[in-house]
Amino acid sequence: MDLLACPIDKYYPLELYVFEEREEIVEGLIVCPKCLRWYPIRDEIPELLPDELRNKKEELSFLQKWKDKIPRKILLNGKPFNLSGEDLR
Amino acid sequence: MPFRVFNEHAERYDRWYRENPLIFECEAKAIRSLNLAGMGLSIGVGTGILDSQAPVEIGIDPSINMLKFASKRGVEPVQAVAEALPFRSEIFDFVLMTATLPFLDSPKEAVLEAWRVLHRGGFLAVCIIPRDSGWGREYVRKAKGGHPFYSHAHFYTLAEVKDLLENCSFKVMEVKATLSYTPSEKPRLEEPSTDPTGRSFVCIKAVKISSA
Repeated sequence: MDLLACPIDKYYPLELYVFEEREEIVEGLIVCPKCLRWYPIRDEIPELLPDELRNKKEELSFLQKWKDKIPRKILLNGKPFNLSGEDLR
Repeated sequence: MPFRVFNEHAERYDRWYRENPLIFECEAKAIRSLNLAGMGLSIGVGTGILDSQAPVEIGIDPSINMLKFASKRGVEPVQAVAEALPFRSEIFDFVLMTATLPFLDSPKEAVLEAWRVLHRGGFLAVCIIPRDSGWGREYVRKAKGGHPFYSHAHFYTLAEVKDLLENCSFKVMEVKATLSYTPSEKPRLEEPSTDPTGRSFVCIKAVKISSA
């Protein structure tokens, strides 16, 4: 984690949120606090792709799945996708 | 590069090397002879079958299915692209790109990113199948026939890759080459040579110098 930087603006340190952990982090979230881009950890693999290579449908369903554990700033203003406009209660 | 093709064919890619152990061992020897050491990153790690011949700690690839293979070979997987590396600057001792260059949208951006993440004095090793080599010509022919991997590839000559590296503030230190036989000849085990003439798998080791 301490080697990682945002692939877009190269900012570090990034924030880490762990949702499911065994020996490794199985599912989690990496956040660039500067540009508010978020990157999922799925199946133990951190996914730090540029915006244009990300699958909007899969990313939105990841946000939905973990919305109770994802910081509000990401749910509302996260890039490149967020859940603003949806009922977050 | 539509990397989905690699997701669909990860197993096939890995199996080819297992079914061609002499070719694999020639290429593995060339990579090992580069004597890469320290904290290493592989760009386009694929299944890790070749790149794990160097002490690679972290491997990036856009294909998740490829990364799952690499992970089993002890490489820490990160899904990312070469042109936008998700790493801090000046943290790696070496960066390895094995058969990655042909599949990149922008090789120059990728080499500049490699430069950024390397320590000063760190090494970039680029292994290629030169376009004008025996195997290169065969792959270009396959590409024209619609091969699932190679139809997306752009092959380079050794001179083109050396120019690319030197234009991005690297100095070429040494070349290690192997595969002096063509795809139609019987494979044999070879020691890597410093003479790339007539050889189809060529590794270029370059050192990061000054500012890009």
